[in-house]
Amino acid sequence: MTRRSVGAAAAFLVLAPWLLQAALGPRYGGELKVGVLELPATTEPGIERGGGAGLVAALVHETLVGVDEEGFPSPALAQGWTAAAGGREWTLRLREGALFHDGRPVTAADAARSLRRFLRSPSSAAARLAGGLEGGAAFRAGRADELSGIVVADAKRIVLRFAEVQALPLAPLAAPAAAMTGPGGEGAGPFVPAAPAPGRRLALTAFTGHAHGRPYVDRVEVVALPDAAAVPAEMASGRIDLAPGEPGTSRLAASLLLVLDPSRPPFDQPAARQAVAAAIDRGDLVRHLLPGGDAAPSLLVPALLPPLGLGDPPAQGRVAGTATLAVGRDVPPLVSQRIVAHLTTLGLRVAVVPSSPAAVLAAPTHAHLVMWTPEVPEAGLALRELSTLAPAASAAPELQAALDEADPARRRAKLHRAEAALRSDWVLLPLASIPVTYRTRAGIHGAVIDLSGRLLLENAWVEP
Amino acid sequence: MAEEIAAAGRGHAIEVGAAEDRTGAGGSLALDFQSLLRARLEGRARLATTGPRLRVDCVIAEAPGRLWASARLVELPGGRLVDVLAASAESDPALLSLVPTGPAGGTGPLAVVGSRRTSMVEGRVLDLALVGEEWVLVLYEDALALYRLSDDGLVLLSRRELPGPLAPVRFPGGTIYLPPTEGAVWVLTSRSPRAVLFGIEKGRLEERQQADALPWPRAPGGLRYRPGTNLVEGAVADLGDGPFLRLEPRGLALTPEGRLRVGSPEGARTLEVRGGGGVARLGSELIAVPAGDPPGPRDAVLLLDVRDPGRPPVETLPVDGSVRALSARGAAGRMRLLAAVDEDRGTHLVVIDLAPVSP
Repeated sequence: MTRRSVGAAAAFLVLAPWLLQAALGPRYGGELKVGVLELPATTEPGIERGGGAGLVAALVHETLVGVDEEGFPSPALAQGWTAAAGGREWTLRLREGALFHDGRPVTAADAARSLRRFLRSPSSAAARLAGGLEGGAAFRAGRADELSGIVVADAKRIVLRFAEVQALPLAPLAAPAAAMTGPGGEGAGPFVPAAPAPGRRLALTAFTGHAHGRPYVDRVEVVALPDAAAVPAEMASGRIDLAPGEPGTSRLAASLLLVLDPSRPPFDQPAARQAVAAAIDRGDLVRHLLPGGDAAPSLLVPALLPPLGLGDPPAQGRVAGTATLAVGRDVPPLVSQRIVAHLTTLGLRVAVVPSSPAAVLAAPTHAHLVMWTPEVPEAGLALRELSTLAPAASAAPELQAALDEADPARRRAKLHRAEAALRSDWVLLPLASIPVTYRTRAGIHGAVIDLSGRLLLENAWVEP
Repeated sequence: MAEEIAAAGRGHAIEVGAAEDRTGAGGSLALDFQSLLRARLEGRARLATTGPRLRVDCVIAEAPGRLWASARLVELPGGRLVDVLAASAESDPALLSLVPTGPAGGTGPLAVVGSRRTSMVEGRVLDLALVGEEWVLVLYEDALALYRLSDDGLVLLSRRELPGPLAPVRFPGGTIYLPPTEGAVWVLTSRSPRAVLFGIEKGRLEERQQADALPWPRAPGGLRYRPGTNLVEGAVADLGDGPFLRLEPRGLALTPEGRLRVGSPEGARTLEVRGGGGVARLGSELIAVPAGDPPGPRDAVLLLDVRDPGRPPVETLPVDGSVRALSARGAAGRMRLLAAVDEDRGTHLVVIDLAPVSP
């Protein structure tokens, strides 16, 4: 017999209160009020940027496929798919019982109509899909109305035909702009838009017929806030339950990018762009102003593409002249002020142009400071989307090679090369990977942020 | 002690068996000890309830000023004794009294006289019912199953699918109703469109009848689930119109907010007591509800005095995981509580036997 005396044995008595933590399950009922900095004017599927647009898209709409944490397509309104013709033909089977908000079943004809709308949208993912589908390029360009690449097989099956074998051919279908809509524009997402006040307020009710089941909360109200400074008071008053800001529900999902316009002086000079890249102290930004951020980023957040070395450091220098800088309203003011300070040390005079998150990249300025999140959280499509902001000629072949590569390990290696090539001409300057954070009232569970930086509320519930 | 058990196990999987409480104090001491030991073994040894393993059977005893725990390590299958370990510590009554309070009516303190966990069951458990001494009905999202409870775990006797098409529900609800004359069972889930009556004959489930609503005592229109939720709707004479999160046939319910609602001929009362995913009567004196706090790694079953359930619990039984359904059976002499407990790896059943402490 072994006999040992353990002095701490009585600890189990002391620990009894710890053992009494309990588990109230998800609860149906209640409502959530969410503050956003910008509310889109419409609930139609689109490519509008910003937290508000992403939130509304996720509340109202559903796509045929999603993208999982590894970047692979996952079932959504399509419950499965099969490949044929050596990988050039993909048949998607729609989920039985999937409904639009008006109660109509989601059919393959609806899917075909929605995809045709998507293919002519400004979406980068749509461009990728159109480039591969039979007849897709001509249809997207408006040169043809026929589209042999999309075929309705029967009420519940739609076939996509590609001209050549594609790697991850279904991933573009996860773009919010590819959402399924009914003939009257009805969505199939977890919440039904009820009483919109365009640009100011949107009320939504739980959709009982949602493909994954009715969401937990009965009602969501999305409210446009005047600015980020209003969040603490709105939260304290109880008028909103979630809003952008810390602390709360968080995910490292956004890239803070400085995008320089190489067609305008002084940034038409590569040396000037390098000098800008060299002048910004990323470590300082993250340490002091971006808690939870990553100071040595690539263009994509680590969850999309694990970072490798950043390559040779940029050459330092001075830049004379004047530059306008469009700054998204979702960039923390202290961060933009610090970046402007770094730029002025170069000799630049910088004029800041505040801009909405949706419009910041289109602003006619010399540079753009943006909290960038990808349309589709898949590394290849994300880099392709970035390449449209800075069409570096040297990056095109590297990017195409990566997009065409089906083997995951080789694809990742090629994506790293493409990412480095996109940074090589100092037009796209990654400053940090930063968390997208929503301040969340205590007692709210299940709210999550995806790798596109979108707040998802379909599994959110509220403690009684 | 956990370290010594892990060392004695030499890499074998370990099962922490029921702890026997010989302190005479009653209460949940044995469960606390079992739970703590399991937590302390995690990371030191692989825990298992099936397959080749060492089972740890503990006894807790009290000597003047000291608390003792001794453990037998038994090899399973086979039952060969591998080692015996013991540990003791100074007991400090200032930390936590070992003597629980009894129900107001005076049944006296309760003791956990046995507890065990089964292996994982094969799906999400919506409701449970103990049938007789050794049978258990488990209502899943898509089926009803009948098991025999044995010392070795659960033995599946019969399983019947529920009528479809099954609607998608994120967190479905389900209710088992055993009519007073046993031998048949009504079930309804929020995924299935119809209530079903199954006969229980010689360990087999046989479908006998379907209905639009679940028959329920003092509910002439029966019960239905609110579409897409786990909320039960229906007018119950002594409880009101609902909706309810849970109903118990003898006049108990949980409101959608998790508050305990108690029916009586004078009218129903909603108490401040919050419960989680189940409610059951335990003998004639007690009500069992899972604690109603937010999700965490631990849960607890609260035992409330039926005469004044608004008072603090008579007893609190800690459970590893989240309690999703409860069933109870027995009378004053010996009571059995059965809980479906969710963990990260799946759901298992926990059997807790209780008895009044002898004076």
